[in-house]
Amino acid sequence: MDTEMGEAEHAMLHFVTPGETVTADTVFMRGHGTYNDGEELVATVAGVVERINKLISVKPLRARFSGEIGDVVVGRISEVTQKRWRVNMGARQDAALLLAAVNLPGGELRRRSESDELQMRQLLSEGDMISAEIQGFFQDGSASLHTRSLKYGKLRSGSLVTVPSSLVKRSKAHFLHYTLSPGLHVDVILGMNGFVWVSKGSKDANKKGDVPNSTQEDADALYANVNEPITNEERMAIARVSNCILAIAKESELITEAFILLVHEASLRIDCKDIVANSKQIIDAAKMSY
Amino acid sequence: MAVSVCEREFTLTGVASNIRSDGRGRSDVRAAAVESGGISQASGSCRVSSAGGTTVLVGIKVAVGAPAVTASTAADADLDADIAVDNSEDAELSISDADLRRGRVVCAIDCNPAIIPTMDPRAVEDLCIDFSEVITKILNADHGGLDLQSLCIVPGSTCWVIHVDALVLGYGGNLLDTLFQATRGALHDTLIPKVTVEESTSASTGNTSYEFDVADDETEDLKGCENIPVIVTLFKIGHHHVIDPTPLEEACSDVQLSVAINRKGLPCAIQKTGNGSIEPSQLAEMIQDAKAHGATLFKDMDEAIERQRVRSLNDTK
Repeated sequence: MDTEMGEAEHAMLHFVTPGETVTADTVFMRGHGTYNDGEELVATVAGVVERINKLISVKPLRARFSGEIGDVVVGRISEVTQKRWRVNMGARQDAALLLAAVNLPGGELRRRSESDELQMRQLLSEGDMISAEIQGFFQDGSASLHTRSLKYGKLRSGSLVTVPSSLVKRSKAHFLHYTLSPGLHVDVILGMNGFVWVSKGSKDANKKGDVPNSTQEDADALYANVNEPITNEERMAIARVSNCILAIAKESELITEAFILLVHEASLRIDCKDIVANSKQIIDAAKMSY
Repeated sequence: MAVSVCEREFTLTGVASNIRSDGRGRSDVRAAAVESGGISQASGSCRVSSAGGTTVLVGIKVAVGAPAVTASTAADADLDADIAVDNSEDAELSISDADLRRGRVVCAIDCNPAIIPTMDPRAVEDLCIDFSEVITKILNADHGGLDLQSLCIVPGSTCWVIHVDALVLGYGGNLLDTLFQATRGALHDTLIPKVTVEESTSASTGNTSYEFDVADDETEDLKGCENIPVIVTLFKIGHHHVIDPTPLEEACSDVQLSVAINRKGLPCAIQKTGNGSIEPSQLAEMIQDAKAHGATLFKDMDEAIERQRVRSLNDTK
């Protein structure tokens, strides 16, 4: 990639609207977000023109989430059907979570039978929130998910905040654990699709990691419908972290593990419910403390 | 919307402990911006956008029409129509005739189902119809504040019909309160053309005929706007109730109580929606909370409308 040129172009971002001619030069190749109209290359979306050597594409300012294999996503079960759950994750189409792609209570080596198929709603029913990983894509472009690790599965003891998916940066860690003060823990699952689950933190940060030898109780607890007891202090901390994430999104900054913590610290002198209204001030203060 | 068991429980316990998922208490509201006069083609318009994402645009169109839909003397909406009214009937006005001597309000709400993804498209349509009914009912009633008598042009045949057309542009919960707030703002912004009515009695038959003329450039404010009530909807979640809910809180609420509060701080209309029940003691508490919130809403609305008025005065200078 011609980086030198790229940086020079960065100084003067080229915005286009749908139907606007990006270039009339025929040497360029047609990329995403553009089409050929005779000799001209025309934008199909509103966004920024990106050029990689001879390939011209337009990156939309607002886009639906289209994931990649391996992305951690947070979604809501919208339908229970034959051998699969349909999951709304804010993409163009609902994703599918196959019965064969989940851990069933009773150990990994258990055989799946027809009775499992009939009891699918006991595991996950409509409206349930889950975290999962994108396993692959079907022919029609819809994603196939899996939860075949103990870190994925049903989400409890917290609330959902939704941000534009473009603000979530793909990184090593999407399961974040914050210790805000001694004994006050908040967990954040940063879905690549812009769904963020903020919940009461587990005391032991390592518990969220992969557990190679899962016990029966762990697997059973995976589908339980019971919240952990939450104190008022913890509830306020969950609300504050949620509002911080919304404030970051409002200022169109990337949502990362470190930045959430900085913004949280900057927000402490402001009342929890006023964080989003004062987002500019808080984000500026957080940036200063970098 | 289908909500998971855990989310519902989290919301319920949150409301019970007075910490909602966005950090607000049960009676805290989100800020709303009021902007009137945005649509120059309309007689009046207003846009209210709440910090929660609910955005509503209301346009008012005033037109000359017949007083009540049921009026037997439904006349054409011709601007210069001459309509004869029998003089003898005027003497004994019955209650139903009062309807013929005043204008009316018609409300229509439009909402693209895609704006409320958490609801079934058919349910969104029903919701819009329900809300437009509520708004129409309140504004046409005596407690609606508007001076409908002043909208009468020719008794029994012609009056001003105020069309309230609302468009939902964004949804973040608490739609009815926002819609009514925007309607209120738009009616404040509304100017109706001046009408001059000429009365003439023909010597031969003794009948009175009216002739009226709608002025092209002279307008006047709608009378009684400041007395339009505000609507406060209380959502019962668990054993408590909240105001200005988020979509998730709305989904967790079994029963809602919409209370219209007038300028004196008294409830003038109450509607219960949803399948749940309200205990008598809680009903009293809910109405009390609605009164308290209604008073602050009045204050906020008055300030916002005054700001808009000052700004538009400066613009015209």
